[in-house]
Amino acid sequence: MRNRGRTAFIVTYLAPAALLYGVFVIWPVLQAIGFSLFKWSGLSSKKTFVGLDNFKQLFHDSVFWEALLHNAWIFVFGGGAILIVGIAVAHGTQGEGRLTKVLRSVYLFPNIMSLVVVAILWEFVYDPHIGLVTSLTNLFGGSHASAPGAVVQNTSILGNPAKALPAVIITFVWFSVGNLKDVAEVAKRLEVPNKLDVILLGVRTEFADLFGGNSILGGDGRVLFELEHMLGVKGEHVQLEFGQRSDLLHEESVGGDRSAADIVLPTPILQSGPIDDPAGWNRSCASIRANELLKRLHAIEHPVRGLG
Amino acid sequence: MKTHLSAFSAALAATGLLLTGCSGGSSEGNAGGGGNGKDLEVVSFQGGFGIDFFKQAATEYESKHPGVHIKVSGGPRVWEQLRPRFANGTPPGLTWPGWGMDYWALIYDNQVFPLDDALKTPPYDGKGTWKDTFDPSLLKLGEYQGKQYELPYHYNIMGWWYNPDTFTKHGWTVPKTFKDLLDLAPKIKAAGMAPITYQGMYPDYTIKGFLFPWVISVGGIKAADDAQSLVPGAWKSAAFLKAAQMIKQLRDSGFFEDGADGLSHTQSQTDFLQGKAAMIPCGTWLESEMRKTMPPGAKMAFMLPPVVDGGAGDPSAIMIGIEPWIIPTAGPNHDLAIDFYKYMTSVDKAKQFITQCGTLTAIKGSDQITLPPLLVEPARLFRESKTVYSIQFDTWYSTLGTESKNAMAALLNGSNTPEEFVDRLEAAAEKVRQDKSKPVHTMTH
Repeated sequence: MRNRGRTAFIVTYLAPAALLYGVFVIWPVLQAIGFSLFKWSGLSSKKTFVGLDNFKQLFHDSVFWEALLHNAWIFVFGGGAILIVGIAVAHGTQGEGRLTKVLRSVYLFPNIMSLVVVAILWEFVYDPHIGLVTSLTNLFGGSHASAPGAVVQNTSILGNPAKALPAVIITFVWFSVGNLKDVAEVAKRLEVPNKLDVILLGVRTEFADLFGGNSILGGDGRVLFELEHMLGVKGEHVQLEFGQRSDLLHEESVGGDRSAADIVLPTPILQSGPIDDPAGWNRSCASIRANELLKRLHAIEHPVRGLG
Repeated sequence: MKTHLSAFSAALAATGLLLTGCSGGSSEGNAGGGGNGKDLEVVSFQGGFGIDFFKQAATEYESKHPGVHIKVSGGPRVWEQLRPRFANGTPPGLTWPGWGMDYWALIYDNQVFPLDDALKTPPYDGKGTWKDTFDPSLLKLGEYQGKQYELPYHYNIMGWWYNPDTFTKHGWTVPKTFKDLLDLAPKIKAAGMAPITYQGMYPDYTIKGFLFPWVISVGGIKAADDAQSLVPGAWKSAAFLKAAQMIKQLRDSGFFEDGADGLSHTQSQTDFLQGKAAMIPCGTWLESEMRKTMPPGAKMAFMLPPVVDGGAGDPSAIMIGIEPWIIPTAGPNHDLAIDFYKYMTSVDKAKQFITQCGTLTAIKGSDQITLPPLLVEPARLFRESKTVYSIQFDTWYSTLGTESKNAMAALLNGSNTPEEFVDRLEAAAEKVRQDKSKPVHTMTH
């Protein structure tokens, strides 16, 4: 009895968000899957049904597999680093000291910056002439200044296929650490009995971010939390991040052998039609911030728990 | 040049200058939907030149033709709004959709109105035919299968730039031949400058600034035409191999600025203007692009890329690119769109465009004015050139375009040898040849 009332309550509250999610996420995804079966310029009503031909082409394209491999690199190394550094930072910045508070903000800061700004910032860090990295290497004896006639050294990081992807991963970790730190912090503030659970949840969400936000398919009490997470806040957040990460990667990796840091992005399928810049609207509409997430998670979690 | 703009704008986007917010739908219905002959909607790419000129032209035209109403709008990513309008069959009457639009895909889908009949009619000021008012070498770039789809408005000239003051100060002569360049480069290095820098992040610049000029210089214009026409073996011809070896030679000799392979267009162009490098490949848009960040006193002058000594090619060969306007097939009021574009392409308006926007136009005689100082030399070289050419393969065949950029970057950073480089290009060309669904283009001179 009590359970039924609880379900009705939850459904009532989730319905509006679920509706929006259906219209603006699920439907475009289905539509995009439909489009993928056609040969279509996107510029006229002329569509030819080609079945799975587009996928056949994709799977025969070596660049696709290279890019997918880059995804794996980012997943393993980027994800791993975020996990370790994020938890370490969350752990290390507990307490209420003045310095700790400042540090907490400092670590959060990259996460609330626009990705475009992050990209520009790191472009400067990696700049072959005035960049921080080049200056440091030069400082420690790795001077690239070549004598007249000597074979020129490749000094640019983003122009070098071997260095471009690690460079992008570092930027990505730098940007994302604050996010995971938040979740760990939520756990702390909520005083959940099993902090590890929430931390792991955060980790899962973080990876879900990377690969399409499918953590909605959980199987226990956490589902609701996650659903809220996705619909209420994270839903937008996930999209924003996809869009923004695609920006980041695109803008940072255009140099060199361009496919060196290409990755496969889930974003395009969230859009209907052959829009070449799915990030555009996300980027400019970006307003959900990590601290906002923190606040809202806090607010959401309590009433839900109160029901139990 | 489409490429210039694509590289330019991609980089602009990277620096955040083009972010325009999620305003999205500025397309409020279709002005003149039924084609009443009186309403025209003009949608223009809004880049460095803005759209004020076109707005002003519209106002003038309206006052000359009472009852006509022309609405001019634009944006830096205007193609994003145009694409769904094309797909829905509600495009504007006249448009310059900008570098983000795939013009050829529009043409293949019959979305662009052929203008051959219109070109036989008199121009706005009534003398001869409209066709005769365009420079023929620029007009033919908008043709597909014998029909005229795109009409050029302004155009860019691609070449190299140097600082005349620096050259005078050191007593250097502008290198005319590759041998001159090899002789001069060590002197430039000795003076503490890099001989050449380039826009490494966007290999279009080096494809157009190094590769093709030298292919043509070595093998003649046919070597480049054959490659663009996908003649088997053309991309790995002796001319391409030699041009690639020349690029490698400059690289291995340390004549390129260190780290140029990771520089954006603005970074490398700034380095050039700050005197860190003596020469740079770029188009005639260089000054307008750099005006805001140009160090005081920085000077630049145009030169043709040095030619190969004893090469088969015409040393006066010059590369250009057009910015095309189109009349959408599904757009209303074709006659009004044509007549308004005739007004824009009248010699007087074209001259005004050159003065206001600082770039050359495709209208014959429009350069018979006091040109902006930096355009004088490129305009002269263009007029006197016996071989005017344009690089279009990358817009015809996007996969080949992408692979050529990747291969160029690999050649410049040393991960591909010249032999590997040409093999890569030929393999990519072969892939396009195998794809029977791709419309075939040919380039001839």
